[in-house]
Order: sequence, then structure tokens, then C-alpha cells
Amino acid sequence: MGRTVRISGGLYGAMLFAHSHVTQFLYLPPGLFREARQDAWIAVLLASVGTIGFTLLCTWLALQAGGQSIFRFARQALGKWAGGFVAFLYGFLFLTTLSLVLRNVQDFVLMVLLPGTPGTLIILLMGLVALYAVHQGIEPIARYSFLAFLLAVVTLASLPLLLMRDYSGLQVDPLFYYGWLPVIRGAVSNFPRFADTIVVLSLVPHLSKRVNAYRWTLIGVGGGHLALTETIALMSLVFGPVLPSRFLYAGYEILTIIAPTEVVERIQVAVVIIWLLVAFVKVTLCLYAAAEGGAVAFGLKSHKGAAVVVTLLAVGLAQIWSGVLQHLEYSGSPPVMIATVIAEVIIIVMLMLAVWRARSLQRCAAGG
Amino acid sequence: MSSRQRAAAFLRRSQEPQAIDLADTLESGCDPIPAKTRLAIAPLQNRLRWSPILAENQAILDLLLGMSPDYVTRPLQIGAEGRPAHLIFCNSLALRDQVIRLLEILTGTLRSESLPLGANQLIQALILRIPSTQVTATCSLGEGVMGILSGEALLLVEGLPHGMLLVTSGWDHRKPEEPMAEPVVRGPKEGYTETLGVNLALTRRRLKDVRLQVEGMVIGRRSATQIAVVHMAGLALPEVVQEVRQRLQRIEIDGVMESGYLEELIEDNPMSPFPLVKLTERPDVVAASLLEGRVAILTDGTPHALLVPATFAGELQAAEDYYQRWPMSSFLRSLRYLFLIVALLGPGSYIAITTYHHEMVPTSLLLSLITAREGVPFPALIEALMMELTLEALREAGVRLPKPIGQAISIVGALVIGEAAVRAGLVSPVMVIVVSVTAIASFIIPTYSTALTLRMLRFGMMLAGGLLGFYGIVIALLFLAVHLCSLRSFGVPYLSPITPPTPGDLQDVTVRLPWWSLSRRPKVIPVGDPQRGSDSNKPTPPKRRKGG
Repeated sequence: MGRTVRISGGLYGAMLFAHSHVTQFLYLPPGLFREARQDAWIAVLLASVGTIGFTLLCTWLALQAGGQSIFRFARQALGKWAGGFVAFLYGFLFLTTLSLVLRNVQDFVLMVLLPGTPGTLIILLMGLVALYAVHQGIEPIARYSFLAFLLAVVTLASLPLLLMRDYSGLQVDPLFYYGWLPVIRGAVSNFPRFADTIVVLSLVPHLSKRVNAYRWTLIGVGGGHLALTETIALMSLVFGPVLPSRFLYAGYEILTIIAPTEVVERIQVAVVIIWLLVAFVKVTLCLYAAAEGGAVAFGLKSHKGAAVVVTLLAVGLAQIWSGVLQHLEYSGSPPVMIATVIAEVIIIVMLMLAVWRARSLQRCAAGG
Repeated sequence: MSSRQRAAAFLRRSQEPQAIDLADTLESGCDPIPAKTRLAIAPLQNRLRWSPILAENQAILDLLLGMSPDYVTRPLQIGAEGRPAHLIFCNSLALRDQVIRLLEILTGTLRSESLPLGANQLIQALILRIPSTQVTATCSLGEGVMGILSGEALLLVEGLPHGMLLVTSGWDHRKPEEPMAEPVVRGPKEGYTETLGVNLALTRRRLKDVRLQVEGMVIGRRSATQIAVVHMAGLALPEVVQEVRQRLQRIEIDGVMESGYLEELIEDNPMSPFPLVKLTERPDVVAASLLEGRVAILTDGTPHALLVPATFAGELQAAEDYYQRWPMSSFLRSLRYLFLIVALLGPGSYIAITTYHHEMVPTSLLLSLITAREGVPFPALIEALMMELTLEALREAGVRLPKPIGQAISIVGALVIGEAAVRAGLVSPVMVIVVSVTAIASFIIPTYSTALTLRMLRFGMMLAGGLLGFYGIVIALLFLAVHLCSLRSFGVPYLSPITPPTPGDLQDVTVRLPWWSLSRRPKVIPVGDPQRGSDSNKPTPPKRRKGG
């Protein structure tokens, strides 16, 4: 945290991949299938085009800060209040995302691994490890992300083979049976969740100067979305469109039908372990971003202290949400969706304003 | 003039204020000289110069070393003029034969020759005539005293304001033997000893190159332990060598008894349980590491050399991996990684499955487990902790006791206690199997310090598995992974080349590709010259002719 740490393009891509895929595949399917039905996977592809454009715009903004945090840059350019407001909004956005992810971890662990255990204890432990990671800095998070990325890639690569006997092409045939509109609706209604790739605003300043940020953003987010498309397509091929829209955790259900050997009777536990190991990347990145936003908003030099407060707030907030149902509400409820989109738009617009203002000031200074 | 007055005169000659105060104290006091006064001279010795008056020099040396029974002063006369001289040495450290040979020359050949009067000419004459591998003239009292305490003989001559240090050191030392902790089936069977000179010779024997640089250093205010920083110029990055030098020079300690002292004083993260400096007793490992751009630190008095930078993958590599054929080495390496997981997670996973996740195992196996555990009065966690702690105690007892008894205790203890515990119904037979497999798995780790770390962390995993099942293990694993990801050893990420990924180096991690494909040095350690060998080293036997 203290010194600016430089990370490679590969590690940055791995972070974005894990961030864009791993938690999404678990709680996006019901909403997606409800809207786009058997063409849900096309909706993901369509959404990915918008998400990539949006993330590249964020990357461009982050690069304008010349290696420092874009929010500190905005605070300097727009002043304490306006700059603080945009950082606060960003921090709050990730605080809510973090608490939702933690809530999902809690629900999932309680459901599959440890029924009857106090939920707060479960996510407090996860929060504490994430806090430790954030205190160690972005470099260890990036390195861990690569390990998680490898785990995710191996799992995703083996999925089509493991599910081979359960496919049916008829489940997705014909394409666009209900037309384009449901597909677009599916893509748009889930866009706020896809757009949490806005986290690149916190990551790009740590990229090595030799790295092409746009290329690796494209690879990371694009790769994550392709993997998500694969998972959704497999769900369509195996379950068809009706079941996944009614499952609470369709992404989990598709993994549990795999019966690899006679030795391991049921692989739910293994699935949850892999998911937890990869989801940890999302938890730490959300905590990192929320802590950065909070630290800048309140004028703190380091975000280590802010990270402690954010962790406690997220654990507390997670007890208010209702997990995946909340996500369904998000994607189905226009006011919540609009509020999220508005927050993201405000952040982007204000950061653009900060860049424009900084350039104007620079021009004035150069002109004498 | 008494010895006390001569010593005072010696101190006064230096014109150092502290030395003059001490001289006053010496002159005004009475016999015996208090220990406090002797102690006060010790810190000044490096600033004090030899006097041209032999008696004064002898008096100050007597003051500093005179209490020791092995401190010997041999008065003699040298040159045809019969100039008084003293040969001073430590009887227990200097080689007796060497001292006698010196005395023969000094009292024989040199007695009949006329020696020049001028200091410089006399030094030159002595250097030319004395049969010692090294003759050094020193004007500092401190250097002279250090020489005597290191086994050298000091020649003081009347009228000469210098001391002549003659190499006579060399006490009996252990012969290079196969290191107990790093044995190999195929490969050299010699290991380092406790003598720095021997260790340097063993290293030089393997790298006959002028670019092999050895920098000497003395660490320890009282032990004055000799340290050698060894690296290959042009391979090891100067920045890394400089960092090693700086970290060693920063050390202020009374004594260095073993390289473990240095290890803890120079590592990047002193709170980590993982060894951030690689330890070896094998000169072939040191030589191979030097060729990869690493820096070795050899310490006098210990056979353990330190190698930096270290990586976690390096801790799982054995010397033999490079001597056996590559498919076998690769298989054994992969096995090591597999059993690393078993050693760390074996008992923890068993506890988690039997306590929380019964659904994971097939019903028939579950029934067997339940039957085996029937009658055991403890929960799986307590059962595993009891067994593991007993095993660790047996292992520790086996190491500490004399070898024949130790082995007997380990084997008999393990067999008898295991069998008796199962018969008494205190532990289940399955737990005995789990603990045994885990113990075997931990022996597969080639580096003792890493194996120790894993043994310790296993208890954490057992507690995590016992308290929160696999979720607890996941949390512990996440903590461990983040910690490992945050470690660096002299600037090199500890988990490299796995993460951050260095694709070119993966040819020597879980697998070891054939030597002809390892033409480049590992990239994780920045080196001056990346090329290790020719790219065309692959053997290409002539094609068979038709009819052949």
C-alpha cells in the first residue's frame, strides 16, 4: 500500500478474470434465464461487449492520473468536497458489492458445508483473511489471483468433458426463438452487476509501466465473460431454460450433477472449496476498492485503517441482505438497477470532469 | 621497570586520551591489575600501534592474554647481531609442527645471517626468509591479538614497530562426509565441514573459474567468526551481492555460532515460518546455485551454507533431481508436490470429513470408518492431535538420543504405542494409517527446514478442520496462500516462477526437463548472463545407414 507496487499484465488479467467470472456464474443465471431463456448465453456475450467498452473507458480514466490513484487525482482537481464525494460513492458501491458477495459466501457455506453455524462467524473469518491480504498490498493479491485463475481455468476446461453425457442440443434450439428483445433485456438488466469491473480504477495505477493496460483489460474481462458464456451455455445445454431460472444457485447445481468416480460420492464440498478459493479474489478486490474509496473520501493517507472499517461494515451489512434473492431483486427491480447505474455514471462523469479540469489547469499554467 | 609500567608506557605512546587515562590508572594501581582495567583495553586494541620496544609490546600482550594457560611466549634471538625477539602463539590453536619448523629457521638459519636495521628492510628480509605460507606485517595491536587467537604466530622484534603474523593455524578438522540431511543415491558423497577453508576448497574444486569471487568478512564482536560471501561475477547481479553485503555488515552481535544466526538476521520477513534462505551442506548444490546467479554465504564453524535468493520451488528440489535421468526426476518431483499436500492437509482433511462432511465419502467407506471409530472415546480432532504429538515427540527423541538408541526408540515407540493405543481403544486404526501416511509424506520434503515448517502448519490445519471442517481448512489455506504470495527473498518473489508466472522457468519446477533443453538460466533470479549452455546440446546420433 505505502509504495506503488507494479504488477504484470498477466497478473492483472488474472485478477480481472476471476473478478468478472467467479461470483457472477453463481448468482446471475436465475435472472438471465428468466429474461433471455434459452438464449441466456447470447445475452452474456452481448453484455460483455458493453462491459468491455465500459471497462476500457475506466482504464483510460485510470491512466490519466499518471500512476497515482485516480480518486486522489480527482480530489486534487475537483477539490476536497467534489473529489471526496466521487471517492465516497465508489467506496460505497464496492462496500455494497462486498457485503453481497460475503452474504453469498455465508449462505452457500451454511447451505452446503456447515449448517447451523453462526453466519456472522463464517463471513467474519473470510473478511479477516481478505483484510490481511489487503494489508499485504496489491502485489500478493495479484499473485494469489493467478493461482485462483489456474484453478478456475482447470475447472472450466474440464467442465464440458465432465458434463458431456448430459448435453442435449435441443435445449438451445432454435436460437432467438423469442426474438432479440428478451436477449437485450437479459443483457441490460444484468449490466449493473457486470459493470463492477469498474474496479480497474483501483488496479490500473499499480500496473507495470511496460504493460499495455487496454490489451490486458480486454484479455481479463473478455476472458472472464467468455468463461461465463461457457458456463451459461452449459447450463442451457444440460438443464434447458426453465430449471435454471427457478434454481437459486444454478451455477452450483450444474457442478453437483458431475459424478467423476465412485470414490467421491458427492462433489458438492469440492465444488464449494474451489468456488471459495476463487471467490476470495473478488472479496479482496472489492475490499481493496472500497477501502481506497473510503480513505480518499475521508482524506486518509493509507487505506489500511479504512479497510478495517469497511470489513466490519460489510460483515454487518451482509446480515441485512438476503443473498442471492437480493441479486434477483437487483436485476428485476428497475429502481435498484437504475440507482446502481446512476452511481456508476456519476463516478465516470465526475472523473472525466476531473481529467478535463486538470488538463485545463495544466494548459493555463503552461500559458503563464 | 615493572611489567605494569611497561604496559603503561605502551598505552601512553599511542597518545589516545582513553589510553593515557588507562596508563595513569595502571601506574597508580597496585598488583594484581583489576579485570576492569584489562577489559577497558580490549575495545581500544584496534587503535593501538605496536611499540618499537619489545618489552612494552610483550607487557601489553601479557596484560591482554596473560591469564590463558595456552598463551605461549618463546623468547629468541635472530640475526647474527642477536636481536631479541619473541614468538607468541596460542598453544591450542597453532600447529605444533609448523611452530617447531619456524623456530628451527628463526633460531638456526636466521641466527647466522646479518639482518638489516631499518624497519622496512627488516620486514622484507623476514618475509623472504621465513618459511610460512603467508607472512603479514601488521602495525595494529588488535590485528596481532586477533591473529594469535586465530591460531597464527606473532613475531615481535626489538626495534621493529610492527608485528609479523605467520600462518601456523590449522587444527584437526572433520573430513568431508556425506551430509546426513541430504543423502543421495547418485551424486557426490562429500559435504561441507565445520572449517571454512575446507568448505571454500570444496566449492573451488567444482568451479575452477576466476570469476568465482570470495569476499571475506568477520562478524561477531567477540566470536569474530569468519564469513565468506561467494558468488560468480558476471552471473550474480551486483545489486543482489551488494544487498547481501549490506545486510551482513549491518549485523551487530556478540557471536555467530552457526549460520542459523545469520539466516535470522538477514531474511526478508523475520516473522514468517517459511525459510527465506536456502540451507545446504552440499558443495555441489552450492556450486550449481552459484551458476544460477545465487549468492552463497559460508560461515566458519558450521557445515551449513546459506543460499540467497531462495524460492519455495527450490525448497522442493533435491540435488539428485539433476543427476538422475529426467523422466525419473520429474516423476519424483511431482510426487513431492503431491505429498506436500498430503503432509499439510492429510490429518486435517480426515478430521473434517469424519466430523462434518460425511456425505463426501461413499456409504460403504463411511460405514467402515464409523465401525473403526466405534468405541474411541475422543473426537477425531483430539484423537489426531494425540497421535501427531506423540509422533513428533518420538521423532524429536530419536534425533536427540544417541543414534543406536534413538532409532530403536523411534521404531519400537511408534510400533508399540500405535498398536497399544489401537488395542486400548484410544485411537482408531484408520487414524494410525492417516498419521503414518502423513509422517511418510513429510519425509519426502527434501529440505529439513521446510519439512519442519509443514509439520508445524499441519497442526494449524488440524485445528481448522476440527473447528470448522473444510471451511476452516479453506480459510487457513487462504491465509497461508496470501502469506506465501507476500514473501520475497532478496527481492525475488518466494512463489516464483509459479506466481508471478515465469513460463520459461516452469521447465524446472514440478518437472525437470532434460539438460539439453535447459540452455538458459532461471529467469526468476536476475543474472548477468542468461545463457547456461548451447541451444544445440540435444544429442543427435548419426542416422542408421541402409542395410546396417
